[in-house]
Amino acid sequence: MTVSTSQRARGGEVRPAAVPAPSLGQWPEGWAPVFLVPLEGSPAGAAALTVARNLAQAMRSMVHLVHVTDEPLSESDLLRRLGLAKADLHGAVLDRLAGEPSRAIVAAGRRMNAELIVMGATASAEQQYRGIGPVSERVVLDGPAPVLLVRPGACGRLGQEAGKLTRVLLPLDGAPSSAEVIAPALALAASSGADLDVLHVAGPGVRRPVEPGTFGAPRYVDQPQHEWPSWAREFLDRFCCVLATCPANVPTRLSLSMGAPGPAIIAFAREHGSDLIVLEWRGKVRLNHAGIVRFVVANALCPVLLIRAAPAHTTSPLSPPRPAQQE
Amino acid sequence: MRELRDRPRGATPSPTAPLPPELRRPYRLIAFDWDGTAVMGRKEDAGPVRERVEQLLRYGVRVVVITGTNFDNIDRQLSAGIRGPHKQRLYLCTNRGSEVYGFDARSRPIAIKRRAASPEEDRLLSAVAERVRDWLLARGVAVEIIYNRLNRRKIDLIPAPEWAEPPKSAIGELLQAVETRLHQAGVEGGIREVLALTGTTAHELGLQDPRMTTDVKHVEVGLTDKGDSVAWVMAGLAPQRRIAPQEVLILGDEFGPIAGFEGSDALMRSPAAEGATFASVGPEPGGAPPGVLHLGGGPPRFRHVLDEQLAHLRELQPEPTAFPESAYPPTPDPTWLLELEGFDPAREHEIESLLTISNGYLGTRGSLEEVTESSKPATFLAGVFDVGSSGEGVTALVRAPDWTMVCASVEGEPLRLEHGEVLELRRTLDLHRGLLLRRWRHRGPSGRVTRVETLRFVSLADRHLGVELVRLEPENYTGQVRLESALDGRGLERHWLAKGAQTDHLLLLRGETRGSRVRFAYAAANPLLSAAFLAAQETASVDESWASRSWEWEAEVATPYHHAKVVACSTSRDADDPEAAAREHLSRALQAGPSGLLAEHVEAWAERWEAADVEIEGDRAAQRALRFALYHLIAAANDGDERVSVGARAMTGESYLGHVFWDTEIFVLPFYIFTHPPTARAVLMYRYHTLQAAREKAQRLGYKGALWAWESAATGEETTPSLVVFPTGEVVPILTAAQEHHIAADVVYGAWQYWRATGDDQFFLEAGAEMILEASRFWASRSGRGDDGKRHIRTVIGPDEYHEGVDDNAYTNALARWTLQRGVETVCLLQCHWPERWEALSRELRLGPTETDEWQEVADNLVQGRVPGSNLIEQFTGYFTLEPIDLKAYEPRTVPMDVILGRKRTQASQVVKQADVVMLLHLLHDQFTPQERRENFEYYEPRTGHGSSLSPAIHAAVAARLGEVDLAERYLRQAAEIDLANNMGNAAGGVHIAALGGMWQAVVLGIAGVSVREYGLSLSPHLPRSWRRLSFPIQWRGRHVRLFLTGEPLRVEAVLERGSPMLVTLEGGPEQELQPGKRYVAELHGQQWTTWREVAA
Repeated sequence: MTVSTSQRARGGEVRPAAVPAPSLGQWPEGWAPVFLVPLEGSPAGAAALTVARNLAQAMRSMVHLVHVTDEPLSESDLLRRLGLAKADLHGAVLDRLAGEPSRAIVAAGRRMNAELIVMGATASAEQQYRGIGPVSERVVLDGPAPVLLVRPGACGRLGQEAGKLTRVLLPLDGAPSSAEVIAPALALAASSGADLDVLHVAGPGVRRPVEPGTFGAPRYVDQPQHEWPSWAREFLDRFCCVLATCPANVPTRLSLSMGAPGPAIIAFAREHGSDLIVLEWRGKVRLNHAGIVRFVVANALCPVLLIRAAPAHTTSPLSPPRPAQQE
Repeated sequence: MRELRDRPRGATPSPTAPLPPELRRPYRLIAFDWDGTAVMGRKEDAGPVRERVEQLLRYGVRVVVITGTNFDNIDRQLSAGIRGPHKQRLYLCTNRGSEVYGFDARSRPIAIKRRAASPEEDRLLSAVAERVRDWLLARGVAVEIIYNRLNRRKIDLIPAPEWAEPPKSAIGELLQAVETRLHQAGVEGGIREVLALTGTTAHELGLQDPRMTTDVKHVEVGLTDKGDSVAWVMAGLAPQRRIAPQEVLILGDEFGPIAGFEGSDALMRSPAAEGATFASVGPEPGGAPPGVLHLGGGPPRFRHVLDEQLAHLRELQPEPTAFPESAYPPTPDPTWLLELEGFDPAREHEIESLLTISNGYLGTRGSLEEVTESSKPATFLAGVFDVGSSGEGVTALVRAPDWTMVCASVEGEPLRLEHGEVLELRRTLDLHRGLLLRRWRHRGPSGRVTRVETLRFVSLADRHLGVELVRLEPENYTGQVRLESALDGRGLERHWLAKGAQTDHLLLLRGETRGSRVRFAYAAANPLLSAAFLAAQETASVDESWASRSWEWEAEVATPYHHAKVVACSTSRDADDPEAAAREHLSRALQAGPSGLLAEHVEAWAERWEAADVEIEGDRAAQRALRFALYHLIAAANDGDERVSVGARAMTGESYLGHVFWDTEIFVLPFYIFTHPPTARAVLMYRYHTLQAAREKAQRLGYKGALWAWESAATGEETTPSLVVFPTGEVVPILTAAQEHHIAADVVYGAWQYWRATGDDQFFLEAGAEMILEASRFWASRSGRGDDGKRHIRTVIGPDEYHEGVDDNAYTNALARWTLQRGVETVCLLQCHWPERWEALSRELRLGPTETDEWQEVADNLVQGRVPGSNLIEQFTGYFTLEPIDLKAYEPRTVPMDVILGRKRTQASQVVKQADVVMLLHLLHDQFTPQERRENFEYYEPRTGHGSSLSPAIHAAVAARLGEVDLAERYLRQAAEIDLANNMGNAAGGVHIAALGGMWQAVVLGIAGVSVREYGLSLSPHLPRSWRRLSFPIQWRGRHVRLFLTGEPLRVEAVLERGSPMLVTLEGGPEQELQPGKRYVAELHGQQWTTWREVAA
């Protein structure tokens, strides 16, 4: 059994592969990866298509459009419903799916071995506070690939004709498991020649993950002139060299923001003109979880890529002293 | 035969006569006949042979006994007395080529090969023997058949009692008796005729490939002979072990004809043995056949041949020393261990820091030997700085080449954590012995399971030495293993110009730092621990920045292989010719051998622990955390080098660039003062040797005297970076070098405490006094008179570095005043007790006649921040007017308060970074009333954000002395977590040595409340509720005292273990003069201490 870097855990244990490993950018030579784009005829869908096309071009991928409906629509009716012209299908494929939408999309993604699912973020007003609509949520949780959520009017450069990525924002909370999102983020940045901004957010009320090996902003700063450079080096080294492999051609910067994570991420993205935010989702869906993800999706001015990460180990490798024999 | 019988005894060659040239080289496989060659007879004591065989086996030589007799006979005489893994290289070919036995890892015999006769062959063997017997009987010759032999029948031609067991030496007489007997019966051809008849009969009866032999007494017919044994050796064993025929020696005593018969060993010269060397120690009356070296001399000569073989092997390598396996298991008490299970790449950097082995000269992070992708191996050499590790031109302690690298592969598969499955991985820092141990079981991609154990230390007995031992054992395979041991300077080219080299037995890596031009040399050797390495294919590789040696050999299942690497290091800081010095250290080390070096090292650690260990009963976590702290404190400093000090991360990581701060004197030094004064002295002498740089800094800033650098490296020049770019993007100027001047008092505080606690007048006269006077001079010039007529020290940074450019920082002013008072006192002491020194020193320093008066005046008038009508001390002018911040409102919090609030708001707030006024309560405890101590602690403690790792331990110490033991415990735990918690990440760049020193202070100076007095020691103990017992040794002016604290009721025991009588006082209680070797006890009843009483020791 070979233990890959991302799976490696203590004592040779291997974390259960409960979630699909993000694989963006790891295709065999000559293989055109599929970007699955579910459309429903909404402006969000149209925005998603534009973004998907732009990314697909950079990553030499194929765009596969799907529409979930049980209605027997003719081809022209289908195009009309989706607001597509025939020319829009140039270099793309359009399929009809039947059944419950999220299940149908997930099944199609699996069948096509999709590398990325690009969806419009179409949360209703009622759902707006959750940031993500129920279909997107299920696709994120059950789908075989990372999900790129695109809100209409918040597509940034990627929403423009032939728009390209220039800055990818990768917020990391310092937990080793969050490193799983680094490779896809780097792949996207590398394919477009974009820079990568790694952002760590600290502040009161921001709970440090309990996962061993978590590396957050330092609790003690004895001498800032030494502590901060050391911390930044270690952070990038740990996440971009040890836990993931950072391609040399992606300029990578580490930044620290203070405050509540959601607003801090949004503020940073706006200030630095991020074209894409890559977020890890550890898969908790109840209302009081994933608050940061929901906030960012709802407020970002650029698409947000959600990647599910494996559950973290929580036991400490520092063994407590065993009771002595004489006691 | 006749010649043998007639040979006079004096003609027997001397057993130790020179051997022919063919035998003056080592053989890898030695096969020999037993009876007549190795021993004269079955009843002989084979101990001398066994002893030699065992040594050969240890050297990796394969030894094969080829005999006609059965296994039990040889086992009884030889092999039963041999035990151990080396026995796996012994083989017994018994029953005239019918069987081959070997031995497993537990020394149990295993049948490797056995020829089993079919029922028909068995019947035919008997039939042949019986027909020959009948033929002889018909001629009146009574013979007996011996049936119970494997695959053969023996016809005893002379079954008379007097010829029951004829010795070989009587073979002449035996021959004559047998031949006479046969001739008298008309068997004219004698034995030869019987032998021929046996052969003819065998063929007639249809026995395939019969083997006929005779030893004169018997004629035998069988299915195998010694030729089969040799065939197995040459075609089976030797090729399997990659032993060439030229590396095989076969010894016997009967290769030539005996009375016209083929000697019994002639069959060993089978075609399969072509290329092997044959030698006979027998008399060979018919002469040895061509191709057989005739040595003669019998078993004594045979033993000499073995002796010569051993001598040749010893020439090649020293005798393999069985490394004591008992060294690998860690110290049994877990509170002496830091154990880390498994492998978490995310934590690897901090784990490497925690597991650092160091001796104050060499510091090596606990990286995995084979170096993984997540490893950050680093070795540091104390005092070897160079410019610009991070490109900003700041002097930094530079990484030296890695001496620990050892990697292995099995059948071409690299043995690495990343390849295959980790079945077990445990790394243990054995704090008691100063060892880093690793236990690793790994299943490779092909399923091969290998067990690896390593042991590593940098010697505390000879600080120039690093030793690494590797024990590798294939668990479920036999296969080719490759082991490479390297000195690796790759990747360090930015700092080093290095080059590898090798000689016959040494690897060398020499180099020089690019900027500071410090030369260094590593010399490494691999003393033999496993004989397998002798037979291994060895290669060396040298390059720029690299030197390695590798061995490839066939490793056998369940066999441990020991590898040792001894590395000596020297630099131009300590020797004019580093290479010669390194070689000399190595040469001495190799004489001691790895076991000896380990013993010396463990002994040196034991000595340090004897004088330092703090034992806590009732709180195992605190016990281990404290021992972890003391381990790193002992490991951090070198009493033999006065030109280095202890950097903020000691030699455990690259953070803080190896720079020395006030941490050393205030947080770390007390541990050395009270447990190992020579180390304390050396650390202080670093400040003395950098005094000139301190004078220059003071002068540069417009002051007199000496101001030590806020951050210093090799020379004492200021090395503080001028700015920092925060990860928030903010560029912040660093003002500590320009404003944090309390270091000028901190150094003096350390020096004075040392002198007071040790009574080392020589230090005071040669170094301490001068430092005190120069610092006093600085403080006098640093202060200015204000409009209020008071003396002020303006625009400074105190320990609370959140507030820059403040006036009259309480800590700074109090320590400045204290320094000035010590300056005045020093002048008085010199004038009274050492007038000559005073004269010389005052002349040298050009001390003016009124300078002392000025110091006294400044001291008397320096603002102390005392608030009229209150017990509170204002931390600096205007502090009380700043914004109060409720720190609790920001919990839980994982970052310092200045990060949360921002620098500006923090500076305008009352948030304190670290103990400042509280630090003052700790250092100048006696200058405050109990009420002042309590009120100030209670005021500042909730305002302190502990943004520095230096803060929690000092709060623990002060809280303990106030009797707030729960709070003290909490702060002590917080201090321990700085390095040991698994999600702080702080330790990746090295351990926080000041926090670790603070932990010792919290326990000894805080919880036990030890203070130095002019007459001895005073105690003010407050034991945490969960601590059943606290005991520790402490030194005062050459006396070694051991204190024991227990509760409830609180009880103190004191024993003066060494030195002349001294006083011990309980604060607010009675005093006692301790007499050597006697034990005294006092108890706290209510608020009152009982008087001391002597109890049985």
